[in-house]
Amino acid sequence: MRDVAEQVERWLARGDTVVIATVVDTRRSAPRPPGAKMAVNDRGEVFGAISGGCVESSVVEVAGQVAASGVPQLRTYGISDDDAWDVGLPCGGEIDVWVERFEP
Amino acid sequence: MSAQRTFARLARSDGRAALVTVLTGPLAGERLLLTADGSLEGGIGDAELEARAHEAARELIWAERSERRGELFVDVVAPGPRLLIFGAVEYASHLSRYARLAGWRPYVIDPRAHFATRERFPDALEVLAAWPREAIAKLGGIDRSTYIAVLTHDPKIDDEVLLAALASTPAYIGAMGSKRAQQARRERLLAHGVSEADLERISAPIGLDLGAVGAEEVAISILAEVIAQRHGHDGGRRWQR
Repeated sequence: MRDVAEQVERWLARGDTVVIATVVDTRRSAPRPPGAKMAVNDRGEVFGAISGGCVESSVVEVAGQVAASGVPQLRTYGISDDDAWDVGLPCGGEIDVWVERFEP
Repeated sequence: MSAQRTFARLARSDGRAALVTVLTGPLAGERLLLTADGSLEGGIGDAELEARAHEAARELIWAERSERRGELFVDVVAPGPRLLIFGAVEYASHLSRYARLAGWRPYVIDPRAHFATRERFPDALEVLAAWPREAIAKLGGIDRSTYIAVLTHDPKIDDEVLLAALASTPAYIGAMGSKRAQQARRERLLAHGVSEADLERISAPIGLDLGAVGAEEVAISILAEVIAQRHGHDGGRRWQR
């Protein structure tokens, strides 16, 4: 939380809607541990990281849905996914990501 | 203010908290926040699930680890470990900078007030121009998550730190110096009544064996050693495991 907290606070202060994606579980080897976070605002700006860069763009899309609906989503990314070519982790691991709107 | 925002504020101010979120089922998105003083904020609309959330939070807030527990995710923030650097020397400026980058809380301490200045150590949380015992008292003593690096080369200062450190239970004690300086230090400490077993608690010469050249690399070798100590590793090569 520490790495994105300040940025989130700045975005909230100017009235942005903020969505937070958090790694909640990892299997085999994963680039970032549970608790790692990425923040996305409704202008499409992104801060922080939840992987080595391979699932971030997919999570930005999910964040858009969550921002609009307010309903959180639990997503799994990794080589066992159908869209492995798009969002496979280079390390062969798998991560669960929780995407939710940040309540001010 | 939401439990989430309280959690974010605590993360920014080096606080300690555990935020439990329900990930699946009809209560998905509900939250319970536990802070260091034991107080709770928010709640989960199911007594049994809330009790499990509370129990997991109580455990992980002190284990300092974020973890999924079935349908619950426990997110933990905790203050970085304290690194007390004795000796306002050049190594200390690099060590405090790198330590801060890695999320540690470095303090620089030296009784020589013209060295122990804020300008020389902008990345330290505090720069204390004080003798070791006074500085340690001011910082609330040495606890199990305190790491101590002794870099002064001045026996008057070094010995005072090491005697205070050995009388308590820091996570790590490291001291700089050549083989000859180590030997002289051993003899002085033994003369002060320190046992051979206690001398073994001092990591000296300080740092991992990186062949470090220059103050920056030496600082990295020291930080690498305290990181390995924190995680219970000895700092070898991963491919050789």
